[in-house]
Formats: sequence, C-alpha cells, structure tokens
Amino acid sequence: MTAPALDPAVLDTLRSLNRPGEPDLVEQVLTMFLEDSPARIEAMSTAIGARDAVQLQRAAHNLKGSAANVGATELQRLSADLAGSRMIDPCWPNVIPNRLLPRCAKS
Amino acid sequence: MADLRVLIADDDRGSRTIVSAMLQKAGFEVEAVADGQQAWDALQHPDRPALAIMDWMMPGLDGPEICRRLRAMDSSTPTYVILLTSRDASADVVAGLRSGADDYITKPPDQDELIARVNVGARVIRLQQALADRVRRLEEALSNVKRLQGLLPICSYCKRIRDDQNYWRQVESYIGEHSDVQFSHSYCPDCYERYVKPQIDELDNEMRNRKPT
Repeated sequence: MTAPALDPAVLDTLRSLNRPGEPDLVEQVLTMFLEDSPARIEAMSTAIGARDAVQLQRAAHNLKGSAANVGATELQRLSADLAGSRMIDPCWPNVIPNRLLPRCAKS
Repeated sequence: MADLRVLIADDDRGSRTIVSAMLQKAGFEVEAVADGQQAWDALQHPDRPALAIMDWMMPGLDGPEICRRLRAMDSSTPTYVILLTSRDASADVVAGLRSGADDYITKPPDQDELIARVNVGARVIRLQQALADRVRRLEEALSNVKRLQGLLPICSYCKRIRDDQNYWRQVESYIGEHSDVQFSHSYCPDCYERYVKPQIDELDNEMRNRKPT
C-alpha cells in the first residue's frame, strides 16, 4: 500500500484555519500549488540543460517549499534531495526525468 | 495582542497564504508582500508593522540583508524580525541571527509554534514601547527642570516672574506650568501674625459688637 500523495494531517491543519466568509484554504493553496509547480519544474529542466547547479538548487528549493505547503511529502523529499545535491554525481541530470517528473504527474 | 500588525514577506504565495491564515486566525492584522524590496519599503512607512516574518530566500533583497539594513538604522522601537526558513542547519541559524534577526522558524511552520513565537515578539515590542515612552517622559521632565534652572527675572517687590512672553506671572502659576509641582496654599507663622490674625481679630470684634436682635 502506498502512502497518500498528500498528507491528510497537513490538509486538516489547513482546513482548521478556514474562517467563515473566506475562501476555502485547502482549495486556494492546492490551486496555487498546481498553477505554480509546472513553471518550477520547467525552471529545473532549464537549469539541468544549462548545467546550472545554482539555478537547479533554487528551483528545487522552491518546489520543496510549495510541496510542503500542501503536504506532498514524497515530492517534498525528492526536491529536498535535489536542492541539497551537488554536481558530483555524474548521473545527476537523470534525477528529474527518472524520479521526479512521473511522480509530479501522478500527484 | 490583537492590535499588533505583522508583515509577511515570502515569494511563495502558498506559504504567504498559509502564514497569513495562521496569524489572522490568532487575531493578528496581516500585511503580506511578495519580495524583499516590497518588504523593505513597507518597513520604512511611519506606521510600519512592528513585527515582520520574512522568508530567507527572496528575489531582490533576501531576509538576512533586510535584517542587516534594519539594524543599521537607529530606532528606539526597532522592527522585531522572525526569519522563516527551510534552512535548519545550525550554521544557517547562526548566520540568520547574526544578520540581526530576533528569531527564526523553520518551514513549513507549525501553527502553534508560529503563534507562540509571534507572541514572544509581541511581548518584546510592548516592553520596547514602554521603555521608549518612559525615556521620552524622562526627557520631557528633564527639559522642564532645565527651564526652571535657568535665570528667572523676578520682581523684587511683588515676587512675580517674567515669562518668555514678557508677561509677569505669579510664582506658583509659572512653576506649576514648567514642572510637575502642585501647590497647596497655606500660610507661614509670620504671615499668620501679619495678615491672618488681624483679620480674625477684626471678625471677632465685629461679632462682639453685633447686638442681638
């Protein structure tokens, strides 16, 4: 059995912050996540193409932050790996296509 | 402390929305901005927020840079800054605090911890404001004392004092206005003999001489 893509505890916390008369926070934050993530993944791909480790780490750091907001624990962990990675692994460009992107699509 | 206004600076709108919601739920007034330059501008306003929660990494000015700039300013009520960061290595924490941050919280923030730390900030801000008020009152009192220590032109006969507007005033009204002194009116033994006693004697005589009708 695989863990849910989004941590229910994180979503519960968001729900508990809802105030009467205000838009639903879970919906707001999820929408922002879905709207903002493609550009971040695109930035990561571009950085990999340019072999720009600084940009790659920055983009991965941003993705990690927004994944944490919605409780996307696995995505958060993968982007954290990437954000903390250094260009010492000759296979580092493969991290994105092989591991991260399919999971992003699934989420 | 519901009257405390909090600035939130974070380039990730999701984080900004969540932190705002946490603070609003706890009764704080929130002003949210999306980058370091906007944060810096908001903190230059005369009615600036007293407390700022700032992301470490932001385009333009980052959190630590804003802290350094704030600390370079001379203020009796400096902005209380909490850095919000996913960097939790102790070297980063030290670097953040050295840049002038008062506190830090790691991302994603826990609601209870965030509110508890903001309340600590609110307490420090109240103390600073109380101290600044006290210093201001002391300075005012000191300037009054200085005015009383200056040269006072006094009339040799009626003992009235000439004020700044070239107006001759009773001693008590002049001192009353230039210090916190209050006068309770009474008379000394000499003036009792000279002024009060004759009046009482006169009154006695008047009573004695009055024929019952």
